[in-house]
Amino acid sequence: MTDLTEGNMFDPNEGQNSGLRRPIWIMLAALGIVMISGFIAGFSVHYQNEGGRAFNGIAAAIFAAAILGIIGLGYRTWQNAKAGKVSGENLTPRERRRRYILSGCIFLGWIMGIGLPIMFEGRGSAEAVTIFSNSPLPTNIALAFVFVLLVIVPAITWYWHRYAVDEMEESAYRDGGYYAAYAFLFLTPLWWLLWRGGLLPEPNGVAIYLTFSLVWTTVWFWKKYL
Amino acid sequence: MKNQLKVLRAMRNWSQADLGEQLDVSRQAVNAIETGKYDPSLPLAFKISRLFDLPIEEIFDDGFDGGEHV
Repeated sequence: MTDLTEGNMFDPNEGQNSGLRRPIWIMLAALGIVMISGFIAGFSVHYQNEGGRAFNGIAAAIFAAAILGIIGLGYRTWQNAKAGKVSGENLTPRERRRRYILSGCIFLGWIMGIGLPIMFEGRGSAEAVTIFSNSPLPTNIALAFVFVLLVIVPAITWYWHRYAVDEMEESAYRDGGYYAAYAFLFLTPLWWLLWRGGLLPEPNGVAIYLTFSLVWTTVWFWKKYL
Repeated sequence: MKNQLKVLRAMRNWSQADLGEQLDVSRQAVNAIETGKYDPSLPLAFKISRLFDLPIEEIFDDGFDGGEHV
């Protein structure tokens, strides 16, 4: 048991949402690092393909800013993680597993963010691996994505729900699922009708998928943390 | 649902993490139950009851005042 005194009887996240800032910061910073790393990889491949001829001062400044961005976000993440330890922010076993899985996923995302533009070098436009693209993909890259989505993601998801998520979070997931399902049921035909009426562009599957995910995630966050 | 969880926990000098570990839930779940934002499932309520060695109705108050049964 934790040795508690009058002053530290309760956890840092007790009561209101005082413990929220740190994990949110770490999550956003990790996402930022993944995205900037992908940008740097794509940027480097682009200039390498051009033989380095167009790598002028502006390109160097953008490159340096991206590197500085990663260093800054990494430093802030490290500071936040350290502050969490100092303040005695104990984690339960489920939370600890949760953190390991999230760290692993972020690392996997980071590897993919860097690896994809490099894998794609000389095999068509790097734009093809971006989420809104409908451009053709090399078969082996498409199959690699399918493997990740069909084998790795379900395995992680199963482990996540079995060993990291507790019943309160399961309830938050269920609530998020309801809201997302209703948003899908109402908004998709609405967009389709507005398109047929000439008021909106053609419905886009990725946009619908992202909206569904965003609604689900937002409700999950609200129910779990707020 | 109102409950005595925070008081019972404080009486034992446990942090939310300590209680969460014993109940196999997160600190957020302990916090949400204590503040009445989340009502635990029946299995978790029984687990809490056994942990504090108290009947469920002494820990949780559903607001029923003993009047006519619905």
